[in-house]
Parts: sequence; C-alpha cells; structure tokens
Amino acid sequence: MNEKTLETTEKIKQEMRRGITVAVVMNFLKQAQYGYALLKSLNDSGTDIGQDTLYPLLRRLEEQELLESEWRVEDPRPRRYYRLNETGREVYAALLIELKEIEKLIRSMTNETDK
Amino acid sequence: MKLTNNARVLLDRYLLGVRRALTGKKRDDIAAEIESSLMDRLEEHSTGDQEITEAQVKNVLTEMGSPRKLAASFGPQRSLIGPRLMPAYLLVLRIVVPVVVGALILSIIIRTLIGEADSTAFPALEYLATLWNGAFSAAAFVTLTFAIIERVNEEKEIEELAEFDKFDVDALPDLGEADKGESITETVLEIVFGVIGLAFFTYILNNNGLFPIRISPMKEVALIPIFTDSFLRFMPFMMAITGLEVSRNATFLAQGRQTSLTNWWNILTHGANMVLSVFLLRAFPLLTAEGFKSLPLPADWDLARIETGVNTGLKVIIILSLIGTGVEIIRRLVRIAKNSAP
Repeated sequence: MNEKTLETTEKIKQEMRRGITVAVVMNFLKQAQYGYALLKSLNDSGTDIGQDTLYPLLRRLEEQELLESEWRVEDPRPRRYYRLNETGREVYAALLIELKEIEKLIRSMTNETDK
Repeated sequence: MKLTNNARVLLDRYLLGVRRALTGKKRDDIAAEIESSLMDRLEEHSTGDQEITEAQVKNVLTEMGSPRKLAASFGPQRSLIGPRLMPAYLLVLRIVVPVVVGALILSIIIRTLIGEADSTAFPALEYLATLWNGAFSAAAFVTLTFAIIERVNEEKEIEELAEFDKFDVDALPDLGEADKGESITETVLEIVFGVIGLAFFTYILNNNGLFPIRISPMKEVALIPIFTDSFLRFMPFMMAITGLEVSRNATFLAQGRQTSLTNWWNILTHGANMVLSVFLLRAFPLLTAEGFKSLPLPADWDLARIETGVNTGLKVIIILSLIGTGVEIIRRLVRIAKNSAP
C-alpha cells in the first residue's frame, strides 16, 4: 500500500471505530463511573479514546437524555458520576442488536473472502 | 492527597485559565469536573503520603495542554452552523451571493456606461473591490443570520426546517409542473411585445429621441422630443434587457419546457430590470413636454402640469413594476429552493 492508500485506510478505520464508540462507552456506563475512571477503563480495554472525544460524547448523551450524572461527595473529593438511565439502557440494547447484525454481516463477508 | 503551596498555586492559576476559557450555563459544572479530573491524574502521580510537588503538577498540566484546549475538550462540540441547518444555509448562500454579485455587476456596467461612475486611477480594482465587498457582506450576513438561528434555537426543533426536510413521494411535482404559470400563449405574446419594444427603441434612437406627432389642425407630422436626455441614455440598456428577455422566451419555446437555464436566465433579466428601474427612478423626469410648445395646441393646455402628471404616472408604473419584479424573483427562487430540497 502506498502512503495515500494507507492514509485513506486509516481514515475509514477511524470512521468505523467512531461508529461503535458510542456503544462501547454506553456499555461501560451500565454501572456508574466518574470521567477519569471511565477513560482509564476504556483505554485499558483497548478502546482508543481521548478525553477530547469522551467528555463531549458524555455531554451529548446527557443532552439526549440517555444518561444521568450526579456529583458524589463521599469520595476523597467531589466526583461526577455518569450512568445510563432507563432510556439509555433501552437504546444500548437496540445498539447491541444492531452490532450483532453487523457481526453476522462481517462473518459472512469473511467467509466469502476465505472461499 | 496533599499539594505543596506552590503546587496548589500553580494548579489554581491553571484552573482560573480554564474557567475563563469556558462559556455557557454549564461553565461552573464543567470547571468543577475538570478540576476533579486533574486531581485524579495528580493522584496517580503521587506516591504514598508524600505531597505533590510543583514539578509534578507542571508535568501533568503540560500533558493536558493549554487551559483553553482543555476547556474546549470538555465542553460540548460546537460549530457555528451545525449539520441541522447546514443544507438550508448552503442553499440560501448559493442563491443570495450570486444574486447580489449579479446585481452589483449590472449596476457597475450601467454606471460606467452612463458616466456616473467615479473617475479613479484604478477603476477596475475599485470594481473588483465592490464585487468582493458585496459577495463578502452577503455571505457574512447569511452566515450571521444562520449562526443566530443556531444559537437561539439550540436543542429546539425548528418548525420551518422540519417543513423543509419533509418528503412525500406523492407530492413530487409532475415533469411538466414547473412550466405551469408560464403558458406558451403568454410567452409568444411576451416575444411579440418585446420585438415591438425593440423596434420602437431603435426608431427613437435613430431619430435622436424625436417622436412623430400630428394634432388635428396640423397638415404634416411633426417630430418632437418626448423623452429627456437622461431617459435616452438608458435606452441601450433597455434594449439589451429586452433582447435578453426575447431570446430567453425563444429558448423556452424551443426547449418546450422550463429548465434550470431558462429559469436562471429569467431571474437574471428580472434582476437587471430591477436595477434599471432603480436607475430610471433616480433619473426623473424621463418625459418632457417642451417640444409641444411649438405646436398649435389649445390655449387652455397647461403643458407644465401635463408633464408633471405624465412623469408621476410613469414613476408609479415603474415602482409597481419594481415591486412586481421583486415578487416574481422571490417566487422563482422559492421554486428553485423547493426543487432543490431533498
């Protein structure tokens, strides 16, 4: 692959990842987590996401009323915890079904390629 | 986790920079979250019960980047005009800027040819600057308007846009619908009147503005001026625009239906007509009764009053035509906008 093709491939890969980032973040928010811990959990699980993507995404999900947040003061210092609400869990379940469909599609594509 | 005094001061200074860079009603909330997140990072760098030093704070802050950058990364992603308004914004921009530039070009051409333009050392550069200013101002005005709509209607459904986005397959226009309102008979009549107008203008120009008149006791036809010099200056432009209209109508007849070409051609000629009308209104009086003074007219004819009356009537006609043309242009632009909508 030449440099331009590599660049194009990288762009498409990023677009594909961006598409599932929302579902991945929602998966981690089934339990309440504060921002920095969430960022670390995501990075530890292999999700390449920075705070410049995560925090705007959290705000957007909150604006879309898919998650709720609250300040907890019982920690060593106040921390803002995020968690999926009822609607968020429903949306996440729907996204999961969609991801499974995509997985099936990928399997069929891979089988086709293998033949 | 404890910080040394210097470390605390440095952190507070950084947080002040962050607060200053934040805007909006959630500013305090976001600032508190950023502080909490920074403390989490610092905690990771601390070892046991030792105090966090200024150098450690400096390292973490350098990693984070400038306060402005950090503030931007925590806030919601903002754009001047979001994806919701972008299609409507681009459509309006595509219509407004060419119309403004077209009107300016016509205005420059007319001003130059009738000698109204200022004589400057570099007229071409001045014209370019006028065009650039016009295009830039039009684009800036449209952008500003949409940016205000974006901010004012943040997180709200915009009814007009919902209407704009609605799509009903059954409501798609028939192939011939665009031609409605512009019948073949109407177009043929427009061509006939256009050609008569061209012949009239040519005759007047060839006779230096003199018009043939014969009043009952006269045995011969007298050639007298009825148009003022300022009106005669505009006659070539009126002929050019009439010629454009006639050729546009002929193209419409040849193509058998309204196309994008004939539609935009029509908007262009209407726009040219509007610009010309404005110049004509500024050039009044356009008609003169001076030539009639030498004719054997009844003694009770007040030529001055007749001249004023006729000019006022003409002014009213031009103003009405200006309004009508403006409405027609808007009607066509709306049709184009509707046809461009998904």
